[in-house]
Amino acid sequence: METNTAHPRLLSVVPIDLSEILKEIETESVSNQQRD
Amino acid sequence: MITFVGAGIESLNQMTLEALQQLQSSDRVLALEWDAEFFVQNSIKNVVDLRPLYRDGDKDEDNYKRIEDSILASANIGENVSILIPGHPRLGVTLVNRMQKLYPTKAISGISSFCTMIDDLAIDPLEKGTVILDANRLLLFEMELSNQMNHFIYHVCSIGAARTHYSSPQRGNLIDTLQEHLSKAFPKDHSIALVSSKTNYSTSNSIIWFQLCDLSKQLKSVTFDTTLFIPGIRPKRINKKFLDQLEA
Repeated sequence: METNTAHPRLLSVVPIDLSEILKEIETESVSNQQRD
Repeated sequence: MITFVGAGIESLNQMTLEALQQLQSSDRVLALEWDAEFFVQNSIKNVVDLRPLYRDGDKDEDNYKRIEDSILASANIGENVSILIPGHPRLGVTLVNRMQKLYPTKAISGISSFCTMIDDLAIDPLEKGTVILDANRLLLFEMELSNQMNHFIYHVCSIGAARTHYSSPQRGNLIDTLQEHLSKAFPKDHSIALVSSKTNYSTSNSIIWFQLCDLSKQLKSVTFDTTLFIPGIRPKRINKKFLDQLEA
């Protein structure tokens, strides 16, 4: 196995709260459409 | 209790006395930073090397899940377990955020790469104001940048990369997309730098200066320890009334 020669990247490339963010964006988009 | 302990960046000698005492009093230390001699000299016992669980080419989720399972295996049998993390455990460590939702968790500060980089660059981050960002979140949320402030852009090693390619950070790296985004806020000839502080794995720090328009060409120099530094541009306007107040 290849040995890492640097510190590991410990932050996930995908944000931990992405599903909540997507849900809020979707809710906002629906309410904007209804207002229009 | 699960305790995340900051190890510092350059070597374990950078850890605080509080961190050292925490490791010495732990039933088990799970380590993502390793120095066997330091552990022996400082009477730190029952140290387990977690580094093999972080595998080249795997998805983040798989790597972090293996590490998380190992932590929970110790915590669930009632051990006072510490996890030794490079840098500061609250700066860019998803594991800490995940674990604190599952288990009583605390963090002991360590010298972060932000600290070591401002030393390397010899800057005071408050002079211009400084933003620290993750490259993937910057692009995902199409964040707007204010060019008067310094920016430290972390994780240029993994732009748009679904897998952890630490042996070849160039693989699938969408650095062109970052260059394009930065060019909306900064002039193309603006001087920027790839910065890597000295670590256990290197013999010295590294600062490579070049123009923003050449960012993609510099991808060859990127490692998992590299952060992109963009100095802020000198302000073009001033609030004279407020200046009078400051100088009164």
